[in-house]
Amino acid sequence: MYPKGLYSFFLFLLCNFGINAQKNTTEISFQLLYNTVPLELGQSYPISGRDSLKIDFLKFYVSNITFFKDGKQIGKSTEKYHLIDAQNSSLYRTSYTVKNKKFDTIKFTIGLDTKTQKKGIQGGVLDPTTRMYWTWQNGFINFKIEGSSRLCNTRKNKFQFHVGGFQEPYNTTQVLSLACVASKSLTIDVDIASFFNVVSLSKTNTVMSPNKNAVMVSKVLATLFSIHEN
Amino acid sequence: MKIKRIIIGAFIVLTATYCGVKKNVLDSPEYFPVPHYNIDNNPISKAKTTLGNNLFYDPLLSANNSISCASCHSPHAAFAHTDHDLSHGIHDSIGTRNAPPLFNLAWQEHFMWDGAIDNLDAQALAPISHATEMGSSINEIVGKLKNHPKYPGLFNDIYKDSLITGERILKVLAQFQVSLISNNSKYDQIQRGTATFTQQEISGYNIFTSNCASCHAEPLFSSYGFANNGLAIDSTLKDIGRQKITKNPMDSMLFKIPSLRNLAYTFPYMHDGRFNTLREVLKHYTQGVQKSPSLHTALKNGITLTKKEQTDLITFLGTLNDRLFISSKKHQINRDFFIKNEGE
Repeated sequence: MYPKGLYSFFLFLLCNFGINAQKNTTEISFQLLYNTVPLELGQSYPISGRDSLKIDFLKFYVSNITFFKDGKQIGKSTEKYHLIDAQNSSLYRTSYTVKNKKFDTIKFTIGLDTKTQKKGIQGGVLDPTTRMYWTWQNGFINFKIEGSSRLCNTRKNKFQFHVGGFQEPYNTTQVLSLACVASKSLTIDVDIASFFNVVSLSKTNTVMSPNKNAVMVSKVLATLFSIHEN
Repeated sequence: MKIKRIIIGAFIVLTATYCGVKKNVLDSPEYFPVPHYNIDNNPISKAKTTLGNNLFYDPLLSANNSISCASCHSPHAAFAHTDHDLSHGIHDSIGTRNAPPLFNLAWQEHFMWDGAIDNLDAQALAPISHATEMGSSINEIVGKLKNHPKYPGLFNDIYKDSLITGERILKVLAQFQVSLISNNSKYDQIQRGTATFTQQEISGYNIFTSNCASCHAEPLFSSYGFANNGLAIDSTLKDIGRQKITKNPMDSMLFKIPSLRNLAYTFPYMHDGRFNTLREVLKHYTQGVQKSPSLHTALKNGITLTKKEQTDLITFLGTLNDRLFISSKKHQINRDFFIKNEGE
């Protein structure tokens, strides 16, 4: 039998840790935007003068959020995977404990890393019912946008970007480092309008498998993320 | 000190026992290699295998409740689709490839003829979602199972809650599939020392080892890699095989190497079921191989076999048929489960 004091000591450690954890919590939010305004699914957005587009579906994974100070990693997310779904809300919030909050860079993966991809069927936000696991080949879709625009010479004018693939030479998983000022809450803007400014829907509107186009699109998607300036 | 030693001893014994149990959990013979399938991600249990069996035979998995996995993978055909060059699915739509047999899947790294999928748990998503196979989706199936009179209870028995998720459905299906182990052919009996080859079978075995074994390696009778075996491209299907997945021209016409086990039950042969008999297959290998840059090196100089050698080889291949496997009750439909359902 352990002496009673030892239990108290553990209890003390636990409480202490809990308090510290609370003190160092940083809330990270991902804000989905269209031209600086919160994104709304099904809304008609003007594009290239006379035309317009509608987004019906937008989901993507963000994983392995880590915090850096002077190039050294000082914090890491306990929750490894986040599935951001425009259907739920244009604002996605998650909290982390970062020691002393003094970070100058936030780093994260857009999509899922190779190890997770290779593991195949998993639960939670990785469950295949999220419609983010390919049905006809390996791995997860990292970023999925669907919608329509008259610019697309496709059936029902649909555009479908199922951006995935983790095996070289068509690895679409992007790792992003953003410089930031440490604070209790940090918002990362994801402005989808920029995507359609770069990717011309009349030329590129269907990306459904890991290939050159998917890699190109994944690089464009990575440019949509920026730290929100207060 | 003595107590400490006893505890450590007990720990070692328990660990060893645990590892021993884990090692044999797939019930495979000693001469089989280490399985590729990671059991740790999907611990084996009888309840899961039984539930997986029910799902495998349940047409509820298709959009209009007409097609089950077994529609194209029937037990008497070693879980292939005998007599169909290309398999047909929902609304009598015809697919583009021959349904491969299902056995010894735990030893396979890649699935589908082009290796599009390298995870057995994920494989079922493909036929479930394909418009010409089951035309459904995992989400649709989750919905149907949640409202089913029996399935929630069965999931509850296994997971201690009645939550039905895509992950659980797929892992339970995979569990049934890894239980499909074919290891009771005459060849297997010979490995265990309970049978012997005839003279003709020995002759056939020698022809096999010098001509076929580089791709169809023992004891699974496939390396389960990919090869271009010199088939001319079918002008109606234009199937380029593995190249579709890797986009590498050197993978043109490469298909997954099938096992030579259970050939008596799995005709027609090849990815598009173009050959009905083993004679036709051997005619291809001896006379019909098309030269191309991606042709497998073992076929570059051609295979020469006399008529008698071909007969001996086919006789040897007969020793790889596993009648016990195709007739095993435990792999077949659980009629009680379905009959009672209809009465409800």
